[in-house]
Amino acid sequence: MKSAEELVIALVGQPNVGKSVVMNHLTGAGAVVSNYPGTTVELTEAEFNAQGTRMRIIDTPGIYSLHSDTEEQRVTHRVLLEDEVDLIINVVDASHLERSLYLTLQLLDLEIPMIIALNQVDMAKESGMIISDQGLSDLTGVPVFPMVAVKGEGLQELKTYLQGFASHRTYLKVGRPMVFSPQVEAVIGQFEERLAALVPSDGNRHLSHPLRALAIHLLEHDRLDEALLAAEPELKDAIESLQKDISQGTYVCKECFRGCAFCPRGQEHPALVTCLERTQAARDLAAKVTHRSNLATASMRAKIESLLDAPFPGIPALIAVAFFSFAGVRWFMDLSEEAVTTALSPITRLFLALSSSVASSPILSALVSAIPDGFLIPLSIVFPAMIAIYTVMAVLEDTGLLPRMAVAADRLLSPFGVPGQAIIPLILAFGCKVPAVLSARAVPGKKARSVLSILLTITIPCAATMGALAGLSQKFGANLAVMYGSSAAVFLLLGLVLGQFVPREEREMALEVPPLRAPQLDNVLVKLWMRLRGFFSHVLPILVLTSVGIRILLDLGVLSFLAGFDKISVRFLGIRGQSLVAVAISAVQRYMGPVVLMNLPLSAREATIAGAMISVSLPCLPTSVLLARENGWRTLVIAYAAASAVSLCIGFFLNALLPVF
Amino acid sequence: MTLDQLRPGERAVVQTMAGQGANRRLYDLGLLPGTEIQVIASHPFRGPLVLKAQDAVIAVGRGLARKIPVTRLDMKSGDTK
Repeated sequence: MKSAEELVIALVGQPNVGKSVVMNHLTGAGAVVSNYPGTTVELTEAEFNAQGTRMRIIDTPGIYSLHSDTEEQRVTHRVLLEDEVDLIINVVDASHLERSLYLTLQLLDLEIPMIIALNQVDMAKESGMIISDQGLSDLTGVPVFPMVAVKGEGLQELKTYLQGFASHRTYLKVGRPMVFSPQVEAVIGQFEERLAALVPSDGNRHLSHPLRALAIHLLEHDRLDEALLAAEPELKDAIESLQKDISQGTYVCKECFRGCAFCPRGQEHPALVTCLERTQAARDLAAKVTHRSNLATASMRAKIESLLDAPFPGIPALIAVAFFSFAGVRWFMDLSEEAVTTALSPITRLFLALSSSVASSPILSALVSAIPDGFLIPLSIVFPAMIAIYTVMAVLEDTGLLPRMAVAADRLLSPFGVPGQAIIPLILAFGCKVPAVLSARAVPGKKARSVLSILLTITIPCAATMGALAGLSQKFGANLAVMYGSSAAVFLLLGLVLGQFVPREEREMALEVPPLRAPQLDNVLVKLWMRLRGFFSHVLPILVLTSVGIRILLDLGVLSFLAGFDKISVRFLGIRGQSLVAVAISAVQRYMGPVVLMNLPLSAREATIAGAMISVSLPCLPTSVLLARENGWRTLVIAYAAASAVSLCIGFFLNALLPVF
Repeated sequence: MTLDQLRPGERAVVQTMAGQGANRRLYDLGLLPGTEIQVIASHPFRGPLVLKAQDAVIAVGRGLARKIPVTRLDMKSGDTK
């Protein structure tokens, strides 16, 4: 809970408008900054001190409006109303002013002090629009700060303002809510009266809303927060019947005698009327403060955008970008593997020398021989793969190329029942499943999102797994083409089957395509750092521990009881019982599967089959936890069942088909 | 006519849509009744349409586009605007 000296500031704005950049500049903390809609899916918080006052800044998810249609909207609405926010910084996109102002008008209804950060004024200027910040401030009644956040322009002014306001809270300014047409205002007024009698007030707020905002919110048929109303079932019923009266036209306001559904404002639903009037108000407001110059010239950026947005040459160009990105990743991995192995060779030799001197103690010798292996594979293969893939992803996100890939991929992905946005999680999955499952939120439909998450967790090898599989091929001569080929086949078949369960409306894409921009080095570096720092603290210890642990178990003969399964597993799957342990252990961390295999004496054929089985087996533990959290337990159970079945099938078929080599 | 029938380069105005709620996703992207749009690209094999609306670039799946009623602006009135 907040203390008396603390000021709570909420950053609110559309996706991709620069909220996170503003946050980073104010607090110096590393919130991830991205260029595709839906990145800030979780709230990011940071604190900073100004003149002895602690300021807590909350970065809310990007939203286009405050209606409660999406999870992000509901989260933002809750934060604003229940977290006792002292100040809203509404980040507005100057180059899309008209659309940004819809949300601004809704925020003004909440009667919370607010300032507008008018971002991307350079982009607006480039397309021939000069926006009067003074005019905008006069019309909304709140201060306006023009800025170019990515370049750091205008942020100092904002910071100075916030510091001033830490010492004089009198700065706090509630803006001017918009006024609807007389007919709509009459309905709102009457609704307010009824609500005032119904809803108990808490100071001057009702259910944390100003009365007027609550009336408008309910008029627009928004579901109120269920948790808020659950405590008062009678109130819930009363409000619902009032909403019903209005939508059916039995609710009569003073302006007319026919009821709202027949309001002369139009045959539309009353909810639509307020939305339409707000849209019109936003349009008028934007027009009043925008001066259009004819100086807009087709910039280089606009030219490239128009080329990329057309199917030709857009699609081939984007495929080329994807191809070269992954070629770059492979090149980097090959290069770094040799370099790291060479660099680590003195240590490897040292351990080798040690192992002969402790040969008398089985546990010690197992430890000594397992440690270099445990470090070598993660450092020479897994780590470089993660660096390379995360760098490519960070650059693609930052430039705005990813959403364009989504558009280009839409038709291609439609047989699998998912819209084009799915390409983003699918590509991310080649890096790590955890961010991939999180970014699946970019797909709005619930079923489509579940199908996508199951598909990618089972069939796509993450960077660490690819690295470990490459190690398998190096050590035993396992065939990488067979392993990846079987994953691709499973992707196609499983995708086509699962896609049948997605309803038609969830397959449709509706996506904003942000402008292209040059990648910002600091954005890319911050993102890279945030994603890599987990490697040393979490991934490396697990890799080393498993490698050492399995070695010891093997040397002590603990796993030899599995030889009892050899008959069955060799007959049906072509691998020995011990390799099945590797397949099963991938449920903890998939890349540990190949690591376990590397400690076993295997033929190339066995390694290939076991590797292929691993690359389509159970999702790893962190992914499973997220899968259940994001999509529910049902999805996790389906994923486990599908993965077990698919993995065994692949083993069976490969054993039947592969020649002995 | 509906949005999916437009060809690249053509301009149109979005008409009132039937139903409610489901369309908010489109509203959020700026595809409101009365909005003037221009089709930038139409992807082959019934792929998505890319349009410009309110200075933003938006991609809409073909099936969704089929549900959005529009009035085409002929080139002359489009140009005078």
